[in-house]
Amino acid sequence: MSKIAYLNNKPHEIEAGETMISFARRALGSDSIPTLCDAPNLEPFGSCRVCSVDVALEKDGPAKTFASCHTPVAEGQYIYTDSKNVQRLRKNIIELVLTDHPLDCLTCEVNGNCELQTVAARVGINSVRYPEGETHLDREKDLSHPYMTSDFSKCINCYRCVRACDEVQGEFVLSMAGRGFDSHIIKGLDQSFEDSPCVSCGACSQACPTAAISDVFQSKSIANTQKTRTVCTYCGVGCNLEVATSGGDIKGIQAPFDAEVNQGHTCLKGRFAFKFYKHDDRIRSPLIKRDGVFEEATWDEAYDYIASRFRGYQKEFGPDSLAGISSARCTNEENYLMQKFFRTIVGTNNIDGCARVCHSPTALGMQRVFGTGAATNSIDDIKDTDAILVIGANATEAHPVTGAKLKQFEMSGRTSIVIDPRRTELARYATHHLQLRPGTNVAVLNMMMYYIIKEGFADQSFIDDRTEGYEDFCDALFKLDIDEMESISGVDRELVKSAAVAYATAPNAMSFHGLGVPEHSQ
Amino acid sequence: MSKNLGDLGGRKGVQENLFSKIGEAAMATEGSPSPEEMDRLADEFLVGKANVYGTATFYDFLKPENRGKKVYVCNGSACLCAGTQEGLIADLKTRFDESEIGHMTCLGRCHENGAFHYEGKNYSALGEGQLGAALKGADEINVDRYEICASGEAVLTANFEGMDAYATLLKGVLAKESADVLEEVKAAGIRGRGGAGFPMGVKWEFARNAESDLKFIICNADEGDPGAYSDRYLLEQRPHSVLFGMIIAGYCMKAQWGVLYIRAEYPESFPIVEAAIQDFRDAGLLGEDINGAGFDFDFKIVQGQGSYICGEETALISSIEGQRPEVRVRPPFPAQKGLFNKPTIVNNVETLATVPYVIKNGGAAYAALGTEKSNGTKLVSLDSYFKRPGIYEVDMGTPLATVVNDLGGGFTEPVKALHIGGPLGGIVPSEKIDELTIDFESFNVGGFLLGHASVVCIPESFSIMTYLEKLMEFAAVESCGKCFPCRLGTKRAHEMLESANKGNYKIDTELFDDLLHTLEEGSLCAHGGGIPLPVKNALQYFGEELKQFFSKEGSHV
Repeated sequence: MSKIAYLNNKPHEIEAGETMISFARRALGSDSIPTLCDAPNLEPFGSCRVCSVDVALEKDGPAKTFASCHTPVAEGQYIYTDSKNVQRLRKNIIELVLTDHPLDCLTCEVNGNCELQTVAARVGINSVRYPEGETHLDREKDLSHPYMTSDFSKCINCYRCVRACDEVQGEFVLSMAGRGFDSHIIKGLDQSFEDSPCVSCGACSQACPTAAISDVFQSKSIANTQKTRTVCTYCGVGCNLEVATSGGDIKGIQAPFDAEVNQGHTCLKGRFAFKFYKHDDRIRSPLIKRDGVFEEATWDEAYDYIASRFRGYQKEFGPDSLAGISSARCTNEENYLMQKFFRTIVGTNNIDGCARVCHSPTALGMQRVFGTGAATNSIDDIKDTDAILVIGANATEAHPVTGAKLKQFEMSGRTSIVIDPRRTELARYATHHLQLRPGTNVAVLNMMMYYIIKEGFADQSFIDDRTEGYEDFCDALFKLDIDEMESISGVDRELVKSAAVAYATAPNAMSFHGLGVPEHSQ
Repeated sequence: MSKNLGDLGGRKGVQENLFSKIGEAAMATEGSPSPEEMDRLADEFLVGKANVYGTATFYDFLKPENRGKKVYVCNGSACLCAGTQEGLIADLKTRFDESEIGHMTCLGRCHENGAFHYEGKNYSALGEGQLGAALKGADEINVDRYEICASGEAVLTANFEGMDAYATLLKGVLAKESADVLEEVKAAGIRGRGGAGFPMGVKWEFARNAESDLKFIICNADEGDPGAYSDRYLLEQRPHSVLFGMIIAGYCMKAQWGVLYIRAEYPESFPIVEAAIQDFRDAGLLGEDINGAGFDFDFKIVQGQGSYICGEETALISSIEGQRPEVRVRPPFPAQKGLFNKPTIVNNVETLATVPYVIKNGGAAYAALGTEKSNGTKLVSLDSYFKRPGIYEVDMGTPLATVVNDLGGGFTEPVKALHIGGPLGGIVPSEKIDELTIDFESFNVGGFLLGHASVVCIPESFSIMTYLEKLMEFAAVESCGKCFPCRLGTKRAHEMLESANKGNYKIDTELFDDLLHTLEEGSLCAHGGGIPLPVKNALQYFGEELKQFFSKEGSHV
């Protein structure tokens, strides 16, 4: 049976566990209740109170006021999203905010794209009645950093930046300091962006509803109206990006909240490292080498030239005289087209990518074990796993958005085993760090398997149903000299044992490897 | 509130908590931790430097401005109304540099006043020539005296029968099923004495039903209400009762740790509570598998660092974790996710101290005391405007007039109002004293709040406008700053009251109404939500005195 609650006296179905604001947004639209501190990728926080609604137990009955962002909706409630009482409250809260906010909208970077401005207009503020009091309008701008900027005279203390730095990136660079009216955002030990441990992911800037935190590109400026959705090509995570352009120039990059891969997050590279696209060192048109000299050509000329030469070799020497090499910096789709072109148009299987250098052992190994040379889990499964094993991967550096998700997982205190010679960021937060000597992965993994089987944690029914050669495998394993493994790897056997037991006893475990594993084959 | 910071703090456990470490770092560097030490602690606890800095700057006794402070003068409302502090500060200035004099908000010497704190000891009402001796550390001058009396059944003020009797009682109860013990506590119907009045047994049951291999019972001994010192009385004179209550709570909800969060403003409480814990340890009632009941339990004392909001239970939990003590949203409730995101119950000192009586006499005996809806007895603390200031235990339902006239002996000079229940409690005009009884319902119906039942007298000679100005200053200074209405509203309200009191401005009546409405309806917790109550009481009952400060005539309520 579906459960019903009422929004402005009209019945709607409620979903288990949802907050009043989610309920209202689902039923009445995303803008049905104004808010300043709520954000799609952050936990409910309840600081601005602008989302307050009146709630009664009977139609037009006596109501109490609740902040809808963190109050669960219950069956039979009558929620009034726009009562006189609520309108009065919202208006007066915004009026208070404006007593400590510069009224320079017309010259502000985010004019027309400011959430405070939008909410103020919506609740109908036309004057600030308070007598002159203390303000924080004289706070200085921080322009120290190559990418990040701040102007805390425009800060409304919604904590969205602090929460983004914590809940999304997991970096804890930002916090509030002081208390009450004096509370203010700090970076590090009250340092500049440049001197703080900021990793420039830009999550705070994207989270900020005003111009208090922004970037050198002024990405939040409304002037950049043309937006293009694309996929980042820096690493294999595949973050979706929304590129704002004006007159063909990139003005700024944001991460869309509805992207499955990155949910409104991206990293320093995806968000800020785009200036190369128009760098002076780049070639601007196709070049054809004639008589040892590159000459500028049009695209038509270039394609005609490529086609004629390909056709020539194909005819003269056969299709296998040609080969294509693609790149991991291209998207999956581009790589797919490249191989399609070579197989069907050129007629050869001579197609390769730069990833062979790093990942041929990955593909081979996984194909033999799992039947396909690709990951068997999606990144989203991190949410459902009880333990992670990370080997030879420095994900917070190499794949920052996935790295941040792994770090979030680790901070929850669940089992996390990092096998790496370095004390990486993930190793720092791991419950188990097996700090092996470089090149001794096999010894450590053998020890782990040894202890899992010796301690009786092997899943016998799985082994019976789905494996072959298990007894030979065990024989080989039990012949290993643990003293020797310990001395080769330099990792204490008790530490390996405890990691092995933790991994084996987790209901669901997920493993991650990076190039620290397959590149040993070279 | 950060889930991550809670989990990371939990890795070290409550014994090694970040908050206590920041406190120790501050002690080592003249009252505020050094940047190097904050950096080191951040690294040790895997949190951000900003988090440690953000926490340190929140508290009066950790923030950089605290560095070099040597003597702290009480600026609580009872000392304010008594008018003793200006003279005290003048005296202290002859011995200290002005920069060495700080303040503490209520040392719980409301019965004597003239209170200050120096080198880990509190002093009050010093006579001629005693200041010099106090500063030299003369022990006998540190002692204060107040009346302690029960008008009916002595539940909380009964004499401590000795550790042997307690050990026998406790061993007896630990031999019973914890579910049966919980039923007995629930039958007593004790409602939380911290002010909210929520039934203690029901709270324990929530935590008992929460699945977790680690749970906490916290004793909220952060009695921050200026004018209240009944918890201080219990901590210093009946510590065994409080600890007994915590052990029973731990047994009923299956908690392993009892954490006492005691405010720094009560320095004398610490060694006394520590000694009482040692008594339980010596009796074999702490540690693992206590009394063979398969029950592990131990205590940890955490010292507050000067912040009123830490009396709010979720702020208190964040405080222990080393986070900024900002009020959390609910759900999740602490009974589900509290300290280090584990099931946690926070009970007030006085609430826990009732437990030995219930265990000894049964829940029904306790439930028979007091009124139908407000069971049991209540401690009331009376300030120095009473002829017999002190702590009085009365049955719930006892007329306020009995407390004021019979127990307190009446006033030493004409009093126009009583501020009852702390800063967020109501201002009761003298003519209403005869209409009220000491219980939750009577105060609610009257438009007041029983709260913790501390009584601060506002004498005829004291300006109600000045009282409101100071009250709102307290509200603004102690606001955690998380929610917009309280952070901005208490500040603007204080500015308006201050400016009007100086005669520079007449308060816009409509704007002030709007502001009180915003605080009351919009605030995240009872701090911002509660402060309008005494203001509205004052406007209602002292309208004539206050009207000169407002722009328009008429009702403000």
